Amino acid sequence: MTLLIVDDSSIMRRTIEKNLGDYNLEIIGTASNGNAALEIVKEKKPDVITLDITMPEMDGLTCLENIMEIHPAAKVMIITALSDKLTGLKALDKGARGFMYKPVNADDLKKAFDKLLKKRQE
Amino acid sequence: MDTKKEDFETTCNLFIQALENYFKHLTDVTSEIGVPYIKESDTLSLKNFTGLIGISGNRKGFVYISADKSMYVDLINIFIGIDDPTTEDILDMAGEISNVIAGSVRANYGNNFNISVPIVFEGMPKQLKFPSEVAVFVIPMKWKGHEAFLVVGLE
Amino acid sequence: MNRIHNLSVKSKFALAILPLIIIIVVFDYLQIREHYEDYKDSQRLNKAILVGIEINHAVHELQKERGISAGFLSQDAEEFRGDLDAQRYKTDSTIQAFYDEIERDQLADLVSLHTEDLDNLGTYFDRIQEIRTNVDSRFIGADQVISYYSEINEVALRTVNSLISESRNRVAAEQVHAIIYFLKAKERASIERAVGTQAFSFGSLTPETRGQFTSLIAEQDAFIDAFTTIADQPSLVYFNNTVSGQDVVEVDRLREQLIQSLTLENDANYWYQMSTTKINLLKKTEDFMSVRIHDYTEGISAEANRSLYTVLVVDSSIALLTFVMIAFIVSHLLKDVETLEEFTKKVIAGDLSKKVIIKTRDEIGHYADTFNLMITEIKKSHLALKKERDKARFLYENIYKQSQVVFENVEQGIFLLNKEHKISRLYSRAMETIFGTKTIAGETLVNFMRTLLIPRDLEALEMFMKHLFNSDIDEDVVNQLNPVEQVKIFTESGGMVNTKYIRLAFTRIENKAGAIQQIMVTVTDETEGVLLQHKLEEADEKKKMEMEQMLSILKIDPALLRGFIVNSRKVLKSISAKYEGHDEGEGFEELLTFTFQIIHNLKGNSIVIGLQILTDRFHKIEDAITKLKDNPKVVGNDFLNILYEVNEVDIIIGNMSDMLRKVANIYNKFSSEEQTDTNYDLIDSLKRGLSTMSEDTGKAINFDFTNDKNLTIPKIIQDPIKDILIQLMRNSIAHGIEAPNVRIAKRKLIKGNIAITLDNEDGSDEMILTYRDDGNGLNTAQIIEKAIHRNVIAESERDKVDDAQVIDLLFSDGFSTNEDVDEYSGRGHGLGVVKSKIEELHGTFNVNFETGQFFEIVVKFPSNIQNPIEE
Repeated sequence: MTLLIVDDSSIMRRTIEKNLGDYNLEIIGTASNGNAALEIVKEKKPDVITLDITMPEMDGLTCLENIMEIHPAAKVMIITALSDKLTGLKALDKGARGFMYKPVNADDLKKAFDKLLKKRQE
Repeated sequence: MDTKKEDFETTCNLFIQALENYFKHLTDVTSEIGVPYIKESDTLSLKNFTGLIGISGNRKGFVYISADKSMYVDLINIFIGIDDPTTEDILDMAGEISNVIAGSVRANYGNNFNISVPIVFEGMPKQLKFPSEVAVFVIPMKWKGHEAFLVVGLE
Repeated sequence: MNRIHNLSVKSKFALAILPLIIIIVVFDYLQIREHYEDYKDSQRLNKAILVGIEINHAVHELQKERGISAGFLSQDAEEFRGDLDAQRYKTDSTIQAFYDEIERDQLADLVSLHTEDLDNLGTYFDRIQEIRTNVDSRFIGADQVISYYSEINEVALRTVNSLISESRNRVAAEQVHAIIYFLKAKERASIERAVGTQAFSFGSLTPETRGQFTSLIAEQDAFIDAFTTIADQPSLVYFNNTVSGQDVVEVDRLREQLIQSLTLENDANYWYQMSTTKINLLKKTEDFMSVRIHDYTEGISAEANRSLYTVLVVDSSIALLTFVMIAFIVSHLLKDVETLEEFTKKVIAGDLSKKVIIKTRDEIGHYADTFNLMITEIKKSHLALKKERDKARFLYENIYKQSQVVFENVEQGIFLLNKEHKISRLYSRAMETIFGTKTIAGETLVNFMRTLLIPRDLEALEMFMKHLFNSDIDEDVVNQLNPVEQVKIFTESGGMVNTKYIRLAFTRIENKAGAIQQIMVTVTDETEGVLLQHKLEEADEKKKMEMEQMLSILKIDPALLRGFIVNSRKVLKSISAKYEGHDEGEGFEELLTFTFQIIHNLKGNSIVIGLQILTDRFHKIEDAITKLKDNPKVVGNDFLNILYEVNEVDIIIGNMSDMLRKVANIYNKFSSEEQTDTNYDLIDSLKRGLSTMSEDTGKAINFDFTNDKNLTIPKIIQDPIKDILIQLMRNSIAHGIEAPNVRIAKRKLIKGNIAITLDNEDGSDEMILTYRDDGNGLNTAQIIEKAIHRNVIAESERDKVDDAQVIDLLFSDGFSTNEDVDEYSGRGHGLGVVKSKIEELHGTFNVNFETGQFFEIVVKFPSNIQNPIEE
């Protein structure tokens, strides 16, 4: 399975990359903003995408909407600092499959990804 | 007056909790909160690197976290295991912390508590204007021997 | 085969034992018959032996008659005549005894069996008379006679043989044969006697008779041999003992003489006598054996009889016993089976209360155990079913009746949402209490909450509901985003709007296939009921009160208030400054003490100027600090509260300052345009003046302005009034109010007091302004002394000067008592100026004093004065 990491913080991108090392996920790209992310989605159609919401230029929700238009099969895991419920619900509405609040540690990622990836196998 | 006080305490405590949770959750090392104080906005407490989030919507103001390089270096080392981060990495880290802390507070104020993308800077900003009517609370903190300021300025 | 299968168990058993019964019966029949045959046989043998014995007796007598007849004929002698007649008589009587015997009833059946033989024997016996006649007439020879008699005896012995030889008993048969052989031997012996008698009569054996004689002996020996072979021991012993002795040996010797044709020493009679003796011995043996066989057959008969009855009794008993046993077993079995059937019927009827008790430990017993086990199992499952049924019934009742009861007692609101997101018909009573409405069921949750939630939460709830029913998304993930996890709602009850804090929790109810059927929602009221409500109301009330208190500052003298405000802000800022400069090493204790002192001082000041609102605030901060002081584990966080309160106070004070300024502005505006005046500026400046003076002289003085009727001194005369009062104050500070050490000595309050009262008489335009200090009053002596010194009054008049004159002196222009000139006195224009100013206002004044205690001046002036007198 292929993974795309979208976060405006390079530290965050690298943290996610590091913590998801144990999964059988091939990281095919990272993006620091929505536009860059969409380019990669168009080109490589990643199976799984982690997506931040607070980003410059294009925010995560808009980006999510576009991703779903291009590549509806993508399983999007929102990883955001925005802790309010409505943002999460909006993300689900737009097609996200998982939702995580920052700060996320390795354990949180593991649990959320177990859930995200297992569901599909069933 | 009491409800207003509750509100204030809640707000401050939300930020403090968010900060404490950040370090505890990600590093397993707890942070210590020092004695907070009120500050005139023209003389800000700043360390070397600062990540600032502007807040708009129902509440207006800002929150920033300011710390010396060494704290960010430590954090980056914990997160991604590199020893010698670039200045860009340091600024990125400062922005990420402030983003997470401001974002955490949003849970309690909803999506009308809008937070900006982080504004990061090294040293004193050349041009930064804070609303003058805002009381600025400085919450000093320590984590692994590093000092930092969590500064909250809200209407 | 089917017929057998369908038979009752009883019949089956009967069928099973039927062959057995038949076998027993047949066997018994055979046994009985066998025994009966034995018995009959023995009986018959017994009778035959009796008949045989009689025949033997007859044979024996015939044998003797034969011998005697042979002798009679051969010797021609009459010597046998007598013996012959006697013998014939004897023979006839034994034959008669035989006839008598067979005439007996008991022998009828036996006789009928052997009628032919016996009739045959009878015809031979009938010939005897003819033979005798021939003997008497001597028509026949001895040989013929012997053969005649021998023929009869042969037939008689054959008859005996036929009578007794049919025994079924081996022993009896052997003995019968022994007797027969013996009888045959005896018959040969008898013939030998007859032939011998004839030979002795002739003196030797004729060639014809020699052969006969030797063959008779040989035959005799052969029959005895046969006899000894099969005869039983007692018979043999008896025979050996009986047929022996001298006579037997003599017979053998005589026999030898005849055979060897020796010279016969003895006559025929002697031979006859000897032979007869021997034959009699044989006869004796024969009788013994006859009796013995008779006894034996008698025994057999009895034995057979006994056996018959034994068999009858035993077999009948066995048969009966078998029958009874089988009947018993079968009936028992059937009884057990019936018991089982009975219980089975009970079970069918639903009675499971009892257990089958079958004491037998056979298969049925085991079956009964199994049956009981089955009953227990049935009982168990019955119980389980009953429980299930009761549960179902309970649930049924619960749903339609009990649920209301249960739901009424649950504190939480509980309801289900169907796939249309609509609230179930059933919900807990608490729902009505929590939401204050009864229209709950059938509504979608979002609609139900529409009026209760703020739009943001409502929007979130609507989205949340959609995802809650979307099984593609994990329940935990969705529940993480529950927007009404904790939410504030506003409900109305009895016209009252209540704020409530409620918590909604959602649980998916899925069917086995994992499809979401319903959502269970629980609502928890976290408002802590009325308590929180009260708290909020109280807070509102307090807010109102504080607003009123804010307004009350308007009543406080502006000068005082301003001083307080300036000072407070300065001091409060020092707190945060102190915190900022706080060094970790110092500890929190010092910070707390520092803060406390500041707050305590401020509280004192606020009490003095009567700012209740701030006094309360400060008091609260003090409490908070005291609390922290007692807490050994103070952390930085804890200062937040103090800091907040300090900031709050600062804000309040800031607001007061603003308000004060605004109010002042308003008054200034109005005063210039509408001549509406206030005393504030006047009082303010007086206070300022006083504080400056008191600071400079080191005399602490309290200023008290009382204006109960809230009178306003017209603007136009405010300045002269101010001048008057300033002058009076200067005077008080310079002359009246003592230095602190003097006041202590006089036991007065260290702080002096100046009280100014503005009043009027009701309905009058005249204002009454009273000025009073608690100083030394008037030192009349000193004033008089000074006046004399200045030549205002003559030395001679010193003692005539009264208080009123002293006051006049004092209020005369240029009079001053102070030696030194300072800022506040000693310029010689003191109270004279006061007097002239009062006059300018068309006012009057009156002075009261008590030396050492007070000085008071009451000034009265018209308030409606338009133009004061200009100088």
